[in-house]
Amino acid sequence: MPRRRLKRLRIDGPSPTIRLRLTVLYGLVFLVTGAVLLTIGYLLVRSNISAHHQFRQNLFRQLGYTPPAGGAFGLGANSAATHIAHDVQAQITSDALHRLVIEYLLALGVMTMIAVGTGWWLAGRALRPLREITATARRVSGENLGERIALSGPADELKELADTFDGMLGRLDSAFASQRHFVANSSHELRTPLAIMRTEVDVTLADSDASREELRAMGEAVRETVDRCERLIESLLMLARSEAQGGREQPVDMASLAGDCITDLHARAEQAGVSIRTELEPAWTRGDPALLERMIANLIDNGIRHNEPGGQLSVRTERDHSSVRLIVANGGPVIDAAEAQRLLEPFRRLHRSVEGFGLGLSIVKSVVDAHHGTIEVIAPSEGGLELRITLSADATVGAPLSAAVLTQS
Amino acid sequence: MRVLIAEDERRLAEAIARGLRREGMAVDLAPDGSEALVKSRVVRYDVVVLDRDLPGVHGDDVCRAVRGERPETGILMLTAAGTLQDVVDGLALGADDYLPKPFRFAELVARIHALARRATPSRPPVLTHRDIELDPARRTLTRAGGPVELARKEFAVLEVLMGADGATVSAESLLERVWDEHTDPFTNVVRMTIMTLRRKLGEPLAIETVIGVGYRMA
Repeated sequence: MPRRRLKRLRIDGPSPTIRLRLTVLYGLVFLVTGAVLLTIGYLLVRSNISAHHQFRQNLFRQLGYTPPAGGAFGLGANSAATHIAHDVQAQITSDALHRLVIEYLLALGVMTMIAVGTGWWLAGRALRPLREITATARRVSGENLGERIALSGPADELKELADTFDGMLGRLDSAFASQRHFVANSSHELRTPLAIMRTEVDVTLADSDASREELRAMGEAVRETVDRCERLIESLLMLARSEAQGGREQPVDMASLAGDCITDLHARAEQAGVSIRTELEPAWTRGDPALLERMIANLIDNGIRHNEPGGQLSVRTERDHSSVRLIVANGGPVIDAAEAQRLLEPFRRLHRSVEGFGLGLSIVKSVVDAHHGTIEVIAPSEGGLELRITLSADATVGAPLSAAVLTQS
Repeated sequence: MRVLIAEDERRLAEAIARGLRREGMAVDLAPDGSEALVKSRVVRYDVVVLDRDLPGVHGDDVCRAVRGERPETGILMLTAAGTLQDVVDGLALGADDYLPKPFRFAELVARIHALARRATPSRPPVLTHRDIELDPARRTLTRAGGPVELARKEFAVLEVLMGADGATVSAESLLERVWDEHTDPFTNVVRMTIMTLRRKLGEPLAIETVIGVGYRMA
């Protein structure tokens, strides 16, 4: 018998404890209620027997009939017969009550056992969905997040639990998927330059009489590839840093940062034939100046890189009482609106042929997220891309400090 | 041996091509999936080295198409995604072999040789015809036990002729198998190479001309 119970415990997992508790509770409640009920019944029966006795005496009294002393048998009150009759009557009553107690106890015992059995069955039934949820949760792992409980039945608490759990799985699934995507992409981007270097070196060195020029060409190819690796690692580190944003927070003027970035990237813009228009009004926010600068630099760099020759790049900052806005808009070919939204995902590029890894705008988004801001991607119908970043304004810095932050040469 | 490298990373593709050409292979390049498809339809490649992550038409689709249209062509998938699942997926698509990046160049060459050998069934690793012995993997040739020095193209032409097992091979076919896409199809380069081969192999005449058809081992 104990072996069977053990087996059952193992099969049912953690639920038997709660099932057992529910059953015990149910049994106890039934036992106590039953006992109270039966006790009341017993007391009522007992008092009714004596009440019946008194009722007869009262009736006799009201009818003016005085029963002969000594009871119904017409014997003397103090006669031995009267005593015997009393004793017999008392004995019969007591025997009946005693039997009643035993019968009640038996009935209570049997009913309690039935109640416990029913309770066990009911508790198991009620907890079955819970077991389903547990089993699903156990099957789900990092590689297998596609599974759902999809509990059917009435919209009760357990269904709500299962649905909540399903919702959580869905969110986890998409988070894991984007992480896998990211890892796959970064490993691809890191392995490709390694493959280039390895092949360059292998092929050149395999030729025992490679000329000086060939060796030089190999060296240059390797150097160029190392540069590319460095840029990639730099970008990945920046992305990681912005995601794990440090506590460094201080008042930062986006207009002044934008001015600095434009100064740095001015030559690049000229080279690409892109003219920059600025409308910079002081826009103070709180944040990490290094991250915010990188964000603005990435936006401007993006605007230059994906522009067309002779195109325009407009950089604006705005403020109102609670928020500051940075708007960077560039010209260029028309971009599909849905495609534009996806540009914020890591390693997403419009064209594979364009230089870069597709991390620039992901870093921008990550910095914006770290500063609890919002980013809007707009693909205007006339072409190009517009990015609007809204951050909360810094309350401690009040009136505009200077009207013109940047004087363009 | 004619090889197509479908790889969008220009530097990598060129480095591989340089190395394979030195091994005596005729190498064409395709920077994207659609070009790889076009080229593999025009030329009967022995081996296609296919990057899985190709722009245009995805490498997986190229793999399926080549497998469907040219079952004899060996497909070697080259990819930066090197997990077990990727390998299994790639082979399930019809690739014959799978090499994760970064790879050792010597290994790539060895695998291409192995694939080419598999493409022509029952071809032994060392080809022999009378007293001529040709080892494609070691790139050595002996006649009557003595070594013979051959240029790359000469070696490749002889390999094709000996691999044909006595059958006649047309000049066009030799041009397709040994020279790459940059060769002028009206060139007399095949004729010149055969001439040099005959001279280097010496007596008795090893390669005979079947008039109007092509060449075969005598």
